[in-house]
Amino acid sequence: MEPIVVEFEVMASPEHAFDVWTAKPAMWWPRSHTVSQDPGLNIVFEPFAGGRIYERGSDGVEHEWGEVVVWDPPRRIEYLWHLFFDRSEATAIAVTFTPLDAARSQVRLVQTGFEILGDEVGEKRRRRTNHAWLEVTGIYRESI
Amino acid sequence: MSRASPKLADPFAALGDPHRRAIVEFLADGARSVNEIAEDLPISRPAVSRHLRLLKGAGLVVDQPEGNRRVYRLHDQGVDAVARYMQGVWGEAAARFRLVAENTKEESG
Repeated sequence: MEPIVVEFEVMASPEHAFDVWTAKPAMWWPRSHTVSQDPGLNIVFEPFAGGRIYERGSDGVEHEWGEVVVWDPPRRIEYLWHLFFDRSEATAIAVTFTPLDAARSQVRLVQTGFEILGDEVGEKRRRRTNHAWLEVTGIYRESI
Repeated sequence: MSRASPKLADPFAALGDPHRRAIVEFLADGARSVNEIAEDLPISRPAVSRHLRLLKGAGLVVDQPEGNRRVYRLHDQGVDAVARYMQGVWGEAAARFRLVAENTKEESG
């Protein structure tokens, strides 16, 4: 299965881009694609390898999204990602921030490992994955 | 969106219809035939077939023969659907990320 690649330029230094990506994700991550959809939620990347990635609602309830694998500011972060899925169904995300000139950076995101959602044909996994998909559909419905 | 488009339809567009979302939710419980889906929805069998064609075109469902009927289920445990969904999310997230990164100041330090 092909990885997802998202690449774009941003008028910002790698330092600032890395900071916005990892320290202020609640400012830009679409709220419609969170578990709680709480307008006051925060999204946290713990800044070290092995750190947790999670959303925390204003009521303090936390939902795990993944785990930091490589923490290499300001050029690179890699993490496991299982938002809406079971931890065993995590895909891998690598984001790099490369300076283009004094004002611009290139951001490149690669998400791999979708095979893990399809490798086993077990009924249990099918039900769980379908459940996750159902959640996604429900969230989409709420967001329009 | 053109119905004649040979490309796979955008799954977000495919989910833009409440009946198609209802169909996806039914299929999350297991494979179903057109007739079974039509019984649970206030729309005709041909309308269900049309929706299923569109969902299939968007890579969200697949069909297979089962005895003398044809059943539909979510695509390969939703793998493609999930990947497509993520692609859409990243597109939206990236646009928002740029706006924030380009309109906030670097923190001194």
